[in-house]
Amino acid sequence: MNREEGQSIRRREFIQRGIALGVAGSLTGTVLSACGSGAANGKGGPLEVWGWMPTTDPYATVFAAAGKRVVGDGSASSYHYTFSDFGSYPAKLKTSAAAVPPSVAQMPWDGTYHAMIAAGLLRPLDDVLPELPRFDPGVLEQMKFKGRTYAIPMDLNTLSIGYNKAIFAKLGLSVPETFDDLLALAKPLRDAGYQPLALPLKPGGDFSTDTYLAQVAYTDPSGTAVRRAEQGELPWTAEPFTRAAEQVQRLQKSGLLIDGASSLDIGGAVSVFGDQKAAMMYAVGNYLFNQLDQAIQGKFEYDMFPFPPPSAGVKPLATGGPAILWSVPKKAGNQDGATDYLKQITGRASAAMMVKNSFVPAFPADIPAHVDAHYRRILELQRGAATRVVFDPNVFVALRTAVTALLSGKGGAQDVVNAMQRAAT
Amino acid sequence: MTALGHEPKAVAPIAMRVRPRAGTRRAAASLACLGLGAAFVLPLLWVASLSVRDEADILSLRILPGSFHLANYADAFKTFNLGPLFVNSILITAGTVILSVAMSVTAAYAIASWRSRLTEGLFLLILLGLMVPPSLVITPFFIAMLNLGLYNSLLGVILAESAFALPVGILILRGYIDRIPVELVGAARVDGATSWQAFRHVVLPQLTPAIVTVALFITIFTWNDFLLPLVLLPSSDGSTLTVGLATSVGQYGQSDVGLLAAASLMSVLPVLAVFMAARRYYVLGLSAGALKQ
Amino acid sequence: MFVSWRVKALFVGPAVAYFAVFMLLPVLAALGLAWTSWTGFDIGQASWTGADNFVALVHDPVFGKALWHTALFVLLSTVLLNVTGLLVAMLINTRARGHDFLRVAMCVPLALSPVITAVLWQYLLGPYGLVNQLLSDVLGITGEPIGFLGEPALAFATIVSATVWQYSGINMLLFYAGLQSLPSERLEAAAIDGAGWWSRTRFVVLPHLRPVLAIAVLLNLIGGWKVFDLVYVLTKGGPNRSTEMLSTYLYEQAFTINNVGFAAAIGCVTCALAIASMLVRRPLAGAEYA
Repeated sequence: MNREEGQSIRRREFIQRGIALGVAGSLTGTVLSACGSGAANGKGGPLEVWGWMPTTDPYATVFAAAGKRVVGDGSASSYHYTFSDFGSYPAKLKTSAAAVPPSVAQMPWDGTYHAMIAAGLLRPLDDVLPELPRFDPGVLEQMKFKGRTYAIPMDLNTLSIGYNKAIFAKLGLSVPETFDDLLALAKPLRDAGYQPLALPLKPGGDFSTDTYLAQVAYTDPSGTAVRRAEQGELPWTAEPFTRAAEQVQRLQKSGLLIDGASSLDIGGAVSVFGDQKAAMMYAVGNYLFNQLDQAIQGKFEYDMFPFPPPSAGVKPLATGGPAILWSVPKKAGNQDGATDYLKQITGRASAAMMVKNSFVPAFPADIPAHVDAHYRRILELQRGAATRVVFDPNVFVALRTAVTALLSGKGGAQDVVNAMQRAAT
Repeated sequence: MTALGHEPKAVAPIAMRVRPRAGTRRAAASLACLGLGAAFVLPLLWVASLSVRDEADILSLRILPGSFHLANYADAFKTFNLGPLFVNSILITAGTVILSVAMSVTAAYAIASWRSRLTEGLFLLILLGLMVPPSLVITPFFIAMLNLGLYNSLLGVILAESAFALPVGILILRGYIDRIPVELVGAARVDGATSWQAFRHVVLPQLTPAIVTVALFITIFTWNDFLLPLVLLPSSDGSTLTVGLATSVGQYGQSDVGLLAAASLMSVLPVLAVFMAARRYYVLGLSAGALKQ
Repeated sequence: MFVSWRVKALFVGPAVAYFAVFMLLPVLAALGLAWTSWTGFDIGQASWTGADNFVALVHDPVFGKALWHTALFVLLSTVLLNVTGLLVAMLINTRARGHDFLRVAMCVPLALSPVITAVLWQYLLGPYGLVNQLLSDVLGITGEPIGFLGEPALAFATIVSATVWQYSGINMLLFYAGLQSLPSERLEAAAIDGAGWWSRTRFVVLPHLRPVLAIAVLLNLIGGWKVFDLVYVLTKGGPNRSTEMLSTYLYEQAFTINNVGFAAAIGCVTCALAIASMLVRRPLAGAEYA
């Protein structure tokens, strides 16, 4: 090959390359512009609902039914549901909230809620409340921030201790009436070869905060301490919090907790409970009924009781609160559709669907006579349930870490409240 | 001169010394291969055993499966809506591999062959993309994609993933290109070839194992990536497999393990298939026989 | 030989332009966030705070823990990944029967996504999982369940082991590809000279693999500073922050605590450490390859 031939080959290849790049570039450009997402705004636009329930979950069918009714009303052109897994939902909501918010969003019951309110991203819903059913005032109180409501509760959950009736009967044990009675169960159960309480403490899957707040339910009869501390009106080292931490410490020292609790997750707890290795487990709620039935396979009957009060004569209180909350982003298009959705999701048709699926509506609803015994129990326990949430994320994280450590035998009660107070500042 | 640069010791003839030892040595090596292979594969077998059990069996914590419940696979397919998830994962992974390998190979060649302060600087700049934790850069990334109109598009995810894959590709390929003697290219150039022709006909064949390696890495890294599709594709049922399967974990940490195991096994298969197919191409770009030192 | 700058630009241009658009700007933005205070919602609400976040980092005990854990993880995982990858690559290179199986088998863990990995390890290592059942019921060794994922030191060891199990396939692939260009005659010649396995490895294999080793170590170091997926799904940084890593702390600060500025400061430090890892390139690869 001589120089001239080499040059002409070079030129040809250069031109070929140039053409290829040009074609690629223009194709990319066209595709890029075609792929842009358009946001529909204004009245009568689409109803975009975000949640963390998979489309195949019964909850999602309740949402979809309400959405369909909204479309039928003419408040929205179409209903569309977008979900992501629970763990990543706050991250997704956060990255999209200010830019492409949905019409209605399921609100996580953690720091995201208050942070979004503080950033001015959520619409106050006090004007909608009169058109909605009467919610339990205690529940509604938990939704408030500086006196205004930013989320509507749809349904409730309650967490209690589940126990194996057969084992209790065999050993002649009865449902504990006081906290001391509960701790006293450790010895007879262990002597008989059972693990007493399967409490998951695996990092990331622990029920530490629930255990702690279950005690606060009694040390703070007014039920307002947590909310007041979040607003800075009460220190986290106040007496209700300290006494609750002390109760938790007594729980750890009593030997009631299952061996290996520090790496136990909820699935494992269900397994050992179903296998009758553990006589009790926490936390049982309607979210777990199906799995429990699978694990138990009719081998025994189980029932639930809340963490008992410190002294006799006090009404036992489960912890619970809203499971599904709905908020409306301020910047969402189709505000009317969003308002209509809130009405539909708390309407009678929706309530009937919820009851059928063993969900607990957050408002008065007709409960048919023949319902599952466990469901009925949950309904009973839900009345007056105390809060299981701390909305200040710093405090929540500090609380979770400290209580898990406490339940694993490290640290003391005072460390818990000190950690919370430090985190709040 | 021998390989180690000293005079050979007086030793027994090879035929007497090497052959019997070779046999036992090879047998030991075989055993080690099988044993280690089993250790790596065992957890996957465990997942397989979980995938054929029904819920009650899984919750019973037994070691050996007590039931054979193949319906899990069909159920998983339906529950997670695996069809579209598969398609998306495959499209995104294939697109990312093609785009990033194409760019990496040419760029790595330029950086490795034509040393100058400029190319070194560019190299370090591109490596910067490797240094940043993804969770940090995800929010600006989202805003950038939104402004480019690439939100909620597979192309957007491909472009984003390629941006992360590019530094890895260049880094790895550069190392392998360094091994190729510069005389080879010089000889081709003397024969009148352009840089591009020299690259294409002399260097590329040598790089086949390296390119296959890089393609495999990018396949793994993209197939299992979670954050980028999570943020750039709005709904989990229109996203990739990794994101879609994460939805099996509920808000209290509970999950349907049988379905998840079945779905996970199904999602592992394409990657394994790619691995099996790639085996052949490892076997070498040395066929040109050009590497006589 | 002369190569025109035009040609050089065409080779490297696309990658650089692509990178500038899709990576450089977001990265600079992310690093810039470290000098602000932002909740992560409306970018318009971010406010300038100067170096406050960095000062807060210095005084933060959790950051100190995360830094220490990550450093330890980087060291352990890099050593183990490379030793395992190299040994197995050499084993596969002997072409003994079963080498093909091992080569694919080692890459199988790479194909597993974080979700199923979490489930897998929980089932294997949970307090009533496979390993504990074997130890207590079948072999009768232990009484109480061992908290592989719940006890601080054990959890750390579990994470390192899980990482090596899952990712040594990558190192193996790198070394194996590198070994392909080592002519077998050189190894045979060394064997004929009477060199044992260790001498052959030390004087023939390792020098040949130096550039590949440099890359593998570099990738492991950088990846180690950024480690996130496995830690997040297995322990989320617990128990009691005993497996907290820089990136899990970053994620918590950014997405749970809503303190993006602080998270970005952590990101800056991680980035700086990863960049510092580049320093190993020259000594490892040998002067002529750096």
